Amino acid sequence: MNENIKAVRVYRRNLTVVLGLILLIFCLIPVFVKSPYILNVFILVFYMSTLSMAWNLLGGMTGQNSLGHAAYMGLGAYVSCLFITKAHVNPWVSAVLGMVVVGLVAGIIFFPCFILRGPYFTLVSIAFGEALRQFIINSTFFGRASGIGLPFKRGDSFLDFRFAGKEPYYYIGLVMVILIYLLMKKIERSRMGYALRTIREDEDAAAAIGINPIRYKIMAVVVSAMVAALVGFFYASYTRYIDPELMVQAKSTESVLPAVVGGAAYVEGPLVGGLIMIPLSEFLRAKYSAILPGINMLLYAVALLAVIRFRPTGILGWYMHSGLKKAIDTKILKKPPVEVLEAVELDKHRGKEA
Amino acid sequence: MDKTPIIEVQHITKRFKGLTAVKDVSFSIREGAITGMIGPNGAGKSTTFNMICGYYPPTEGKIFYRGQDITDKKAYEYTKMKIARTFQIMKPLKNLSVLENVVASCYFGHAAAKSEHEARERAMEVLQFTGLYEKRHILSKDMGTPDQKRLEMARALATKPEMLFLDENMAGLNPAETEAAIELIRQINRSGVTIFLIEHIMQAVVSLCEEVIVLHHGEKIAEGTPQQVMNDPYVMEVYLGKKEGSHA
Repeated sequence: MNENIKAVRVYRRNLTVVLGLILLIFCLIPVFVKSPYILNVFILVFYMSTLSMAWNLLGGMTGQNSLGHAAYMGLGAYVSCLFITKAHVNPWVSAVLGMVVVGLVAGIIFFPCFILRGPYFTLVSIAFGEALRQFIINSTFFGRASGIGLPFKRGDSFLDFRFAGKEPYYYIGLVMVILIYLLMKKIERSRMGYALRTIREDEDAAAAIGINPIRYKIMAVVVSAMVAALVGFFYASYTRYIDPELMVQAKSTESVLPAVVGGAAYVEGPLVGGLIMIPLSEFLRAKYSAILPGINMLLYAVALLAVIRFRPTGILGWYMHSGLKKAIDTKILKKPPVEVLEAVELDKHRGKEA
Repeated sequence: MDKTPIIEVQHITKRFKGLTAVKDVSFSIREGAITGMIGPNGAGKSTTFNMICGYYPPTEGKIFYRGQDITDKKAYEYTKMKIARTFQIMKPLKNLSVLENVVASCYFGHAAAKSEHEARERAMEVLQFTGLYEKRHILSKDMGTPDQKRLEMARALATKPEMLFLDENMAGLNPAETEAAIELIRQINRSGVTIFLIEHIMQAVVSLCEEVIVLHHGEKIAEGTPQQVMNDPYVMEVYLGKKEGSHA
């Protein structure tokens, strides 16, 4: 038994070291990379991955495919920008207000369509995004098609979330990704996570064990929309300008891709997918769009098709069952067998109770 | 024993558009017993079952649980009342491991686990009880029919029911597997759970049930002990054809 405990400890330590190293690399990148363009790509990776994690809570965990996440993001950006510019509320407070408003709107809009089953949610999410965009284009209060600019006063200020350089946005974006990842991981292991996954697999089976499918689907939509709104706030503060183009359908699709490519069944999927697909897309744009306009999109589509054709469960879906993972687990992390991990965990809790 | 029955069904009728699937059926289930329902294909067994389990409400009639009217309760409210069910067509959570399947059930119902640790520990107990412990890390879609049927029961049991509804839990099993399933159902019953089951396999019904209800064309045609029911001339006619009808 003692050997088991020791083995688990070694494994935990190795895991911490590896994760710490990865984190350290990300923390050190701005120290060595000075090119604003490269930093911009990383910031893009951070907030698009976060948006994709928001999508994944619905699409991956609950099995409700949303094609309107750009609209939540856009609405979040608009609401927090309006609070900042019209009511002069502190940006951080505005972010929270934006999240609350978007959460409420999403909950109210989608309550009726969860009474129906099937693809209705997807259809309504598309309609919702487009309707919202049209509404904003035609509303003077929302700045019509010309959008809203955030005033840029002189000097960096953390309190106003306003920086001249890219490094602060890089770090804040990194913190955002990590916090949202931890939140999603927490949800996955909680009662809500089990409810959502049960609903994904079968709604009747969910009801049979006492899960109210409508209630949990609403919870998922609200949390997902609120995270998207947070991304919207980050985006607005970073670019200092938003317009209705933020909500076009293509943007919603972009929020789906990292999750699908990375592996929608895993909380880590959007992170892996985002780290691969977004730099790829940016690289193709920078390298080829001058040669033949649009070829970057074409190559991107080919890459996407290749992943879906050959790895339909995403990169993580392949990795989790691959020899590579096995090799890393046994050689580098020294992971003990599942039974050992399980036994040690159960023992630890018994010890606590005694 | 004139205790109130745990389930009492009063004159339930179900019409799907023009078709009357179940017509004016009444019966009651005695607490602590195993009650069975048999009948040929299309007799309305599953329809009756689904009405009692809240999957859809009856067109007419009432259903009582311990004297309380539960006719209009939604399916997801049942585990809170200590009632659980299985499905005829198994509904395992395909992409989850066997353990996760059962952990999900432990989180809900009247005795919902408070923590992840409690849920896992209870799931382990249920898995040991149902004989799935060794297979707990397998994805449920990778298991065969007998184990998936067991998993259906394990998921229902994890909600700690006092009343368990089993919908054709032995269909598709070979004789040895049927024997094992019968033993498991006996064990569940001995632990204090009242059981109501639909079954095609006569052997199972005869050896398990204390009371049997026979449906035919949506109507109840007989009820009683297995022996009484099997010697009922009308039941024999329905199952085996007319005895003297040589010209048929």
